[in-house]
Amino acid sequence: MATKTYCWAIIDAMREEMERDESVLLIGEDVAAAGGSFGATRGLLDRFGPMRVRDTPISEEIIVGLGVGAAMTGRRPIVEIMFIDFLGLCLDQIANQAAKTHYIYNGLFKMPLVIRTSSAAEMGIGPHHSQSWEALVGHIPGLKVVMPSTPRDAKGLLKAAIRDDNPVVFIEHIALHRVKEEIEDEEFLIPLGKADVKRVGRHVTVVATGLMVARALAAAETLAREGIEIEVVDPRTISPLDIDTIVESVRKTNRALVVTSSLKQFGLGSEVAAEIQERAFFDLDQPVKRLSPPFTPAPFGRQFDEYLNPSADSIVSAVRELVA
Amino acid sequence: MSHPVAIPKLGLTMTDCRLVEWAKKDGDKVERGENLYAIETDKITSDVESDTSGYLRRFVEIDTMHEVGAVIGALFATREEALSAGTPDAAGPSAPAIGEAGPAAVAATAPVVSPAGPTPGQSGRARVSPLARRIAGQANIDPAALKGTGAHGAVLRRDVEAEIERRAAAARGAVAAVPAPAVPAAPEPAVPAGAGDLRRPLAGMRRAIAQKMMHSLQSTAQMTGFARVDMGEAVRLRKACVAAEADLGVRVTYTDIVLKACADALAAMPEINASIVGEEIVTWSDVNVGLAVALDDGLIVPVVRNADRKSIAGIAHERADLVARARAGSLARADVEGGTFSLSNFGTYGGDFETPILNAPQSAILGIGAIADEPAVRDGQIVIRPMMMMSLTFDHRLIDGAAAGRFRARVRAALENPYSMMARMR
Repeated sequence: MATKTYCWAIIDAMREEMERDESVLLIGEDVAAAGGSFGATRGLLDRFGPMRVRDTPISEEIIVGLGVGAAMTGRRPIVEIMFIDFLGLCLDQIANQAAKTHYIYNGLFKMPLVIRTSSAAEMGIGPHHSQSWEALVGHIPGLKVVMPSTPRDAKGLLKAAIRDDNPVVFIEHIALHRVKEEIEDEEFLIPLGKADVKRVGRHVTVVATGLMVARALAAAETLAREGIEIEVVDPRTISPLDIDTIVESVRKTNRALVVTSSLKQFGLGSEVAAEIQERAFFDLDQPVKRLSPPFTPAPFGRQFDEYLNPSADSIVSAVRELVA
Repeated sequence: MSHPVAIPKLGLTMTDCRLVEWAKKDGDKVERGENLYAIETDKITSDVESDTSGYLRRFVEIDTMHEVGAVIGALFATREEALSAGTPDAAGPSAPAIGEAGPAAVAATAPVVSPAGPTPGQSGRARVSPLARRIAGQANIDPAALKGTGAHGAVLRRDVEAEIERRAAAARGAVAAVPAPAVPAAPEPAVPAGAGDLRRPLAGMRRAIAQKMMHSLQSTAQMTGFARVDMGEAVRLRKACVAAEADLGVRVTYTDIVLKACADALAAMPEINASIVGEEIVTWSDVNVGLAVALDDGLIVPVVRNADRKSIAGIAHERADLVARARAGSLARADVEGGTFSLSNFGTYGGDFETPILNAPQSAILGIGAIADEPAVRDGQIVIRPMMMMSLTFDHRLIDGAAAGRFRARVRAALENPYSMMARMR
C-alpha cells in the first residue's frame, strides 16, 4: 500500500494502461513537456516518448477531433481538455461525432476515447472556468460520464474508462487533486456505472458527487453526534447512473437529499430525485431534497463561489429538515 | 359559498366506508341526482348521488377510509371557485398571523371553504407522506385522521407507527380489563418475513368478513348440533320440480327446498327467529332467510324475504336472481339487510358437516352437507338411503339445546315428508 494523491493516482492509471497497451495515447495542451496544466501527466513523455504523448496547439476541437479519428482507426486515445467549460469549443466532436459513432456505424467503428477534463467549481476563477457540466454531458446518449471523488476511485475508474470501447468524459475536480489516500499496489479496476456507498447510515440517504462527497462525509460526522446517521452514496459514474443502489438505500432510509455542484435546473439532482420518486414513491417519508448552487453564472472570487455552493453546514441543515 | 359533500349513513350499522370511485373530476359540473362517487361498506359498493348541483372540488383520494359524516369534497357555484378552492387543510386552522388585526379580520380573510364545510384535518386532503399512507393503509388506519408531526402538520411514518402502537396498547388494555376468565391477547405470530411474501391491505369485503366473523364469535355463545336427514322424499320432490322446470321457469335446487323447510320451521318457532339486541330479546315478525353465497374473493349473504310465505318455485326464482347478482357484484344494500336466519350449503364444495358461524345478530344458522347414499336401518333391515347431514349453530344465550333440537327435528321432518309443507301452502 502506498499513499497517493488524486493527481498521482491519475498519472499511475495512465502509465499502467500505456504500459499494458501500446495503442493507448495521450493528446492535449501541455500534456507532454510541461507534465500537464495541473501536473497530471508528469513523467509520461519521458516514459513513452513523443509519439504517444503529444502536445497540441490551443484548439479543443482539433484535440478531440484527433482523438475521435485515432479511436476510429484502432487507437485508444486519452485527450485532455483543461477545463470542462472548454467543452463548449469541442462539443460537436464529442456529442455529434464521438457519442454517435458506435450507433451510426452499428459497431463497425468503436470509440475507445477518454476525454479527461477538470472541474474547478467554487475555486473562484470566474464564469469561464468554474462550471459543473456533468449534467450537460450526461444528457448525451452514447457518452459515459465519470466523476471520481477519491484517489482510489480515480485510478480504478480511469483504467476502466481507458479499456472501455465507448467515449468517456472523465471529470476530475482540481480541488481534489491534492487529496491523499492509501491505494493498493496490485492492479485493480472499478467498473463504470457502479455507485459506492461511502458511509452506511439509516436515517437519510445523501447522494453526493465529486467535491460534494467529502462534504457529505464531514456533515455525517456532525450529524452522527446528534444521533442522525446518514448514508452517503457516491454514484461515481454520472452516466450510466447506478440508480439501483440509490433506490435501495432510499428504501431503507425513506428520505433522500441530493447534493451536487451542478445546478438544480435540469440537473443531476433533478434526475436522481425523479428516479427515486418513480421507483420508490411509497417508500418516501419526505419529499426528495436537492442542494445545488443557484441558477446563475459562477462569480469571480473564491468567497462568492464558495458562498453559492453547498457546504457541509448546508448539508447538515438540509438533513435536519428531512428528519425534523 | 360551498356545499359540503359528506359521507351518508347508508345502513343502521354503517360507521365508516372506503371511497372507491369518484364519478366526477375537480371542476366538473354536477347536477342534483347525478352519481357523484361510490363507497364500499360491508361487502357492498353503493353509488352516492349528489344532493345538490354545483362544481366539484374533491378533498380526498379514492381508496381512503372515511367515517360517516366526513366531508370528502365540496360543490361550488362556479368552476373557477371549485378549481381555486384550497383543500380544508390548506385553508385550515393555521394560527392567525401575529401582529395582524383581531379575530374579526381573521374571519374576514378566512377560509375558502364555508363554515359549514369540512373540519380541517379531519377529512381534507391531508399532508401524508407516501410511506405513511402506505403503512396506514396496511394497518387500516385513516392517515388523514392522524395528527401529523412533520413540517406543516404532515403525517409521517412515525405518526402512523405511533397510532399502530397506541391501538395495540389499547387492545392489550381492553383484553386485560375483561374479567376472569381472562383471555390472553393473541400474540403476533413470530413469522420471519420472507422475500417472496405477498402483503396486501386487509380491506373491502375481506375486512368486513374478518370483522363480522370475529365479532360473531366474540359476542355470542355458539353451539353446533347435528342431525342426519333421509332425503329420499326430498330427492323425489326435486326430481319432479326439475321435470317441471319449463313450467316453473326455474331449476329448483335442494337449497331451495331446505330454505323453504327452514322458513316453515321458523314461522312455527318464533323463539328461533329472534335476536338479542342490546338488553332486549327481539322476536322478528318476518322470516327472512339469508343464503351464504361464495364469491371468488369472499362471501356474501343475500336475503330471501318472507320465505315462509313463498312457494319453493318462488324461492328458487328469487334465489337464482340473488346469486347471479351477488356474483356480478350488483346486489343492493337492501338485498343483504334484514336477515333473521341463515342457510349455508357446504355440500356444494364437498362438506358433510361443519360448524357454521352465526351471522350476527341472528341467533341460528343451518349448514347442510352433500347428499350421499349411505346404509341406514329401516324396519330392522339395512337399506341404502340418500342421507344428508345438517349442522345447526345457535346462540346458546338465547336458544337452549332442547329448543334447538326441536327446531332441527322440525326441519328434518319437513324434509323427510315435504308434502306437509305443500299442504300448508297458501
